[in-house]
Amino acid sequence: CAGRGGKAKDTAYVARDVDTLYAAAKQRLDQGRTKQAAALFDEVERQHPYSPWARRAQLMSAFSYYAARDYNKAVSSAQRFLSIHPGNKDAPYAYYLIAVCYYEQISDVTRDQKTTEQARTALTEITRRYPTTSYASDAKLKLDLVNDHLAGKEMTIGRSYERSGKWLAATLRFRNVVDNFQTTSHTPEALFRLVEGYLSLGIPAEAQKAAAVLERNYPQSKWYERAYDLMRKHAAENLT
Amino acid sequence: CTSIKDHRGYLIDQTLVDSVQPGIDNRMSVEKTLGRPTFVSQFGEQDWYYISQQVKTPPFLRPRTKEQTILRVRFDAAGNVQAVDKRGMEQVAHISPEGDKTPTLGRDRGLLEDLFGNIGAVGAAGMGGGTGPTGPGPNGS
Amino acid sequence: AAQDAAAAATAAPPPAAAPAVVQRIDSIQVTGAERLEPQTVMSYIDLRVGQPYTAAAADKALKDLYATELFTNVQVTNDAGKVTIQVQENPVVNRIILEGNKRIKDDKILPEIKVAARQIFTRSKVRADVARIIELYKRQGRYAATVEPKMVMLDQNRVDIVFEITEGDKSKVRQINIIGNDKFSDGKLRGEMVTKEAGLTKIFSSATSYDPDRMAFDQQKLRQFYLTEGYADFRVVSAVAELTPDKKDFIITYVVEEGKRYKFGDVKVDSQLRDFDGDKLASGLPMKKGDWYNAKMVEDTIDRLNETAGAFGYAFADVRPQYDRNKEDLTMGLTFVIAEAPRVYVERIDINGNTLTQDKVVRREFRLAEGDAFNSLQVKRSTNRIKSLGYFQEKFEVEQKPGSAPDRIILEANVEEKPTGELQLSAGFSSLESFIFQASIQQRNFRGRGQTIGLSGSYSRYSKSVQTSFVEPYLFDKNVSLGVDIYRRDYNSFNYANSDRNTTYQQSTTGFQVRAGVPLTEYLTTVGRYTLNYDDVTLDKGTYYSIDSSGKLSCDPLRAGRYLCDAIGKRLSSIAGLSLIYDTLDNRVRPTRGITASVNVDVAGLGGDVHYIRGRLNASKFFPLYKGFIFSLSGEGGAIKGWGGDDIRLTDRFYLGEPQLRGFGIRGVGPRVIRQYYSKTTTGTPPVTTVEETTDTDDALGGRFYYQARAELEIPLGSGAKELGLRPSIFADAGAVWSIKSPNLSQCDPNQPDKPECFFGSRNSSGQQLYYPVKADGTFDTTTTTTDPTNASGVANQAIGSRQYFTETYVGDSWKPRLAVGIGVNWNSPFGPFRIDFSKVILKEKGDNPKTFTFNVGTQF
Repeated sequence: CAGRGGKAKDTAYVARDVDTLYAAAKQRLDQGRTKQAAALFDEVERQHPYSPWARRAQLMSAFSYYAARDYNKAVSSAQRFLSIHPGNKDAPYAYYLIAVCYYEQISDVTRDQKTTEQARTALTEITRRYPTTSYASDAKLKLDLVNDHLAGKEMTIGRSYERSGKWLAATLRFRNVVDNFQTTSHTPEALFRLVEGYLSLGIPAEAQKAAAVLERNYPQSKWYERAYDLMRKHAAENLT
Repeated sequence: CTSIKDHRGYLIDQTLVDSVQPGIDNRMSVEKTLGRPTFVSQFGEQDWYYISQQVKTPPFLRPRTKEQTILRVRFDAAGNVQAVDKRGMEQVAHISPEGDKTPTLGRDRGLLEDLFGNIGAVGAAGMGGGTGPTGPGPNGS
Repeated sequence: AAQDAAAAATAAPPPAAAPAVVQRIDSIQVTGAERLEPQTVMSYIDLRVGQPYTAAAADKALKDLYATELFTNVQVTNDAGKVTIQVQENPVVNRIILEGNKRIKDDKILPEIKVAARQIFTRSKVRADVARIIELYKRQGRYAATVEPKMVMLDQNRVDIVFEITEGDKSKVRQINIIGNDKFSDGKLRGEMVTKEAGLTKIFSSATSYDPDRMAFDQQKLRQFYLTEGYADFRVVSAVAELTPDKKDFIITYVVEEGKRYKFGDVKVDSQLRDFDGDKLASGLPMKKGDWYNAKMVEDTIDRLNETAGAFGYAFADVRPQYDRNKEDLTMGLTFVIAEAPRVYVERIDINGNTLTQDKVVRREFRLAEGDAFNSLQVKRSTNRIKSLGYFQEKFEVEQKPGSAPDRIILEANVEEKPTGELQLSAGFSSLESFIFQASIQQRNFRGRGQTIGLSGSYSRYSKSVQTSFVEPYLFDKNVSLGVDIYRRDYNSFNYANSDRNTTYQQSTTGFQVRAGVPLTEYLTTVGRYTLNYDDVTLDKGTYYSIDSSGKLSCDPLRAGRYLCDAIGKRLSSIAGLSLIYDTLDNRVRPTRGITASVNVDVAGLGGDVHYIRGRLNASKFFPLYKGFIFSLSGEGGAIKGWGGDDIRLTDRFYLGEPQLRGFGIRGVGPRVIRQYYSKTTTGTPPVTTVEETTDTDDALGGRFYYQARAELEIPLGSGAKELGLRPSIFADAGAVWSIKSPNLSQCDPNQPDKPECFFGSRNSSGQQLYYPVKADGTFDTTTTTTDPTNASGVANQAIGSRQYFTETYVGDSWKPRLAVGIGVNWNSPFGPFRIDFSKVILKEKGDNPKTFTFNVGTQF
């Protein structure tokens, strides 16, 4: 039969019964040789698609790819598992695996946040589909961190506009953070930046409103103190 | 020597701005004549702001607003124009942005990864390397 | 899927007769599902226990199950409330095999087809793939191709799919006839079309294969051609393609109706935008009343009007031409209607795809910020600036996406980063410096911050150098660029003694340069720089030094020539410079349009022992010509003048030759001293002296003024060669360098009586003349040497050395232009940039040494 070409050498297309193949794959996984384990699990699924093991093998191959840091393959094999067994009891785990794969590829705020967006959609998927499972609670936690990260990106862009003197653009960005990312850790700073922005634009009335909101919601935060000082220095008459 | 002039924000058209009178216009008519505002105030009652700035960037320094017009349109509960006031540079404050920032997570690229991470052209033919750029870079670098 | 539903209707007869009383479902049982679990099957359908059982519900369940494309056969049966769903699953694809595809290889077909190993086999997917493969062959012009899918059933409900492909041969267009065209010849019209007639010259071109879509496109091209020629009534009456009698090829016949030629009527612009008055714009239109009508010009004007509207912030203004055709006097009146459109503001600027580059590095190149009015010129300028960074893909464009409101727009910069780091370990050979070993690591986008950092060293037989450089285009995020270079360069100057080269002097320079640049306007930048160099010029003592009158070992002008002697010594030159740079290039890495020009002034003498003022001027302009040809004109000029009584040292003067002025050797142009050597033999009685020329050496001296001009036409190649980085071009280089104080020459003229100083004795390392001691019998013992001129008894020893005869002439000091034309190719070879040039000198002065073939691998520092 046709050789399997790119596959690791010892998983040549040798029709073996499902148990030995699965055991070999499991053993490699335990030894930490995750790449070969993933390839062997794929073999199990290909040679014995209808055995009960095939379902298990698909999931294990996704996990092995994840362990081998090959995130794209892990996501694609998890997605294939879900396309065939959406109702399976392990489906939440597959969704969770996809979300974690994206989550671990999030890059720092100054760079492209495409993977962060994908992580957010995958995490919300879990919280929506399987709200009761343990995966959902972990997903909620991760979701907050992801949102916090996206807010961080908006803040970086806002700060770079501030530093290059484009106050209007900066203010629009920080308003976006206050509107869409209220629950993140960046909101107090965003409100403070709004005070800076409105004062630099020459609209102390709005600056005073932003400072008031900051005072009501985050009275002890260092950002409120700084906002208070700024208002005292630049727009004392507006201070109530 | 000279500094670079830029225009930021809303393009003010004097005749249109004067045509907006309190009591006559409402939200719809203002939007029709002036277009949508640069932004609407987030908290408290929703005032409409049109920001138009002339900015100049002297060499070696950050850009500074030379002159600006801020048009604020206030509406009453029914949505009719209650007051229109225009403001210039009077209350502009020169603030240098706060240095501190809220920490964020995310895998940061190590120094070595940065230095060698993007080496695609190990003497590869035709790739990124090759003859250097002809003209000067940004800011004459 | 529709086809499936039909199959379902026939395959599963509806349950015999729904019993009159509505029956409740007591239980549902799924049988026959091997791979899928019963709950998965249940999750696809709506039948639930407790629901009333109706034929409609059963049919709906059937349809749902078939829609999942997981089953080949589904049956829903009900006996007294016990519903059983009998399914037969689709097999799983084991392997896909392609047979009979010779023209298109497997790796071209496999990615196109949807069905893949380990996926579920469905008839619709296979049918789609068959169509896909036939489409691939159609594009190659093989209309006779047929594809037959075959299923090989395997155990465990698996299947292999075999696509049997019979390709058939290409059907060509043998002839194209056009009837009804009397204003333009058939040949001219055929030239406009994409499909070409098959012929000997067109064996390989795919344009000769018959393709109905291309025929429709050709009709459009014909129409476009006639419209640009003013025939507004042009119509393609019919276009027919018949098979040739032998059924292998096609003959296409077009019947056209040209109609009459129109002129422009009166042209108006009716603008409904407030600050856009029509008449001012109408005056600027290219077409005037009475010109021949030209549809293309109308289209270009529409684009231009759109662009000007964009410049005023109306991104979505739409300009629509209204024609009023006047058949009697054949004029076409034209009104450009600019519809009312809201002024658009930039809501957001998003930067995607930057996995390495930081967001601010791209964002700071944008000429407009969020909240600003949209401006198409500024968007185009931003695109050019981002492209000039040289970090991203060639075809980069800033995209416009609709914003959250009709008057809001989102600008997106979707970048694909290309490698900007170069680790070049190159060994090269260059006519400049023979063997070069070069190691350099340069990162043009260091840490994704837009900074450039370089560390490079190069070693060749004639020059050794090491250099580190760092450039930050936006210092502390301000519009200030900072560049620092620290370098150590050892350089051996040389001259040619009839084609082999010997070193005249060694120059080693250690120094650093600091540059700071600031933009004055969008296109004008000023750069200030300070350079500190420590030069140490030495001459090879053995050959050029001798004991002068004061008994000290010093440079002997006779041996080294006056000009060389005063170049020696250690010097510190501290130079401050200022440049004004104007640059409107569209892409700095590979410019196709725009101008770059700079004026540079350098003053040496703030401290240090070198005093001069040097001015340099250069400008180049790029014109994109027809279809990828890029023509560039560049000019350069400079002057240097000493002050404070200093004369310009040899090392600071201008030199011209390869590689700046192609067609000439290194420093091949400009003032030089040519030393013509002779050999003098006196033989026979009476003694007859014969003098003949032997070698000549020429030492370029450089000049205080120079100018250089170059015209170059870059010839576009196919995309294949472009990948390799091959850029051939034809060029014409002209230039001259001139005006230095003419050096006083030293002569050892063979026809004059011998001068004592023309005897070049060999000396030991401390410079004393060596002699062969005289023996008792008057002959000389050549085995030992001594430094005293006479032996113990006063008889003179023989001085070792030779008497040289040469005459020096000073030539080449003229401002008249030297001119060379030639062809060359630029290639980014694995060894680094590689340049070959073949050039023919047309104008030259006496003393210049032309060179027809030069090549250079590895850049010279």
